[in-house]
Amino acid sequence: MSIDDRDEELVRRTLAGDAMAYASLVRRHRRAALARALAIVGDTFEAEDVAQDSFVQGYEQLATLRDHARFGTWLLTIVHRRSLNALRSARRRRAVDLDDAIPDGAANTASDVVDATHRSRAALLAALASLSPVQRTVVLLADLEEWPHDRIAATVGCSVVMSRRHLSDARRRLRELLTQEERR
Amino acid sequence: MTADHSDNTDIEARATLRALDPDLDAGASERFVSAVMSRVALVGAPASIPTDPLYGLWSLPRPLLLAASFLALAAIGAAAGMRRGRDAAPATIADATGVPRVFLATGATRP
Repeated sequence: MSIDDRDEELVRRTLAGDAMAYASLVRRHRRAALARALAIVGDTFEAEDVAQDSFVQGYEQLATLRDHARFGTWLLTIVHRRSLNALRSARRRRAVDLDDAIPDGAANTASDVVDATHRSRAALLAALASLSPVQRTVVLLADLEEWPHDRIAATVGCSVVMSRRHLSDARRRLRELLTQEERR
Repeated sequence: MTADHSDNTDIEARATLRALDPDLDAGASERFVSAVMSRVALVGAPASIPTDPLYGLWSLPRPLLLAASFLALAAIGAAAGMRRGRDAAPATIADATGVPRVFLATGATRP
């Protein structure tokens, strides 16, 4: 049974009133939703909020989904829309500052594992921020979620060839930026 | 979700994005699911499946539906045209050639 076959069954059960089926859908698509949101909003906490909101909206509007097997793709379009809205709101509130991801005093406690994680996350987010939104999405889906290019291309709306090119460019750029960061 | 059918076999090394892995914290997944499901519980059941008997019809490709509509309209138009043509046709040869009715009346005399 493929991913989409199982989605179809889970959507059908959810619409029949089985809430646990929707919990399974959330579990199955959570990582992809988070990656898609992160690629746009550039902040892990904001991405988590957006992904949660998207799943709730998906539940509310589930009956409007015509092809139940396409739940994953449908959900990611909701995530995409909500991420753009969140980004616009965030820009209105404040200028985006990825350094916010580093807690105060983190630089003085580099040996601490938690802070080191925060620092490397902040460095990664800063490097990702220098990529185009499409490159960010492609590299996150390919290298974090291990999606194949045909699936990435269908999600992003480009050809497989372009997906490969975006990935190659994104990896090169990330390597350059992270190497510079390490040398500092 | 980690796909088990990856063709992502580019020769160059993958970017190391582990610091962004949402499952670095083991309980993150279940916390996320719980948060969503608690909000979903407040929403109530999703709207029921539409009972419209033509519901499935709307999922047909739109061009097909449009083409079918045009064909149906053309057929109706052609049928109406044929009917009008039949109604307007002359009943006799005299009608068709425009002979005045006065000459056709039974027992008619010349004025």
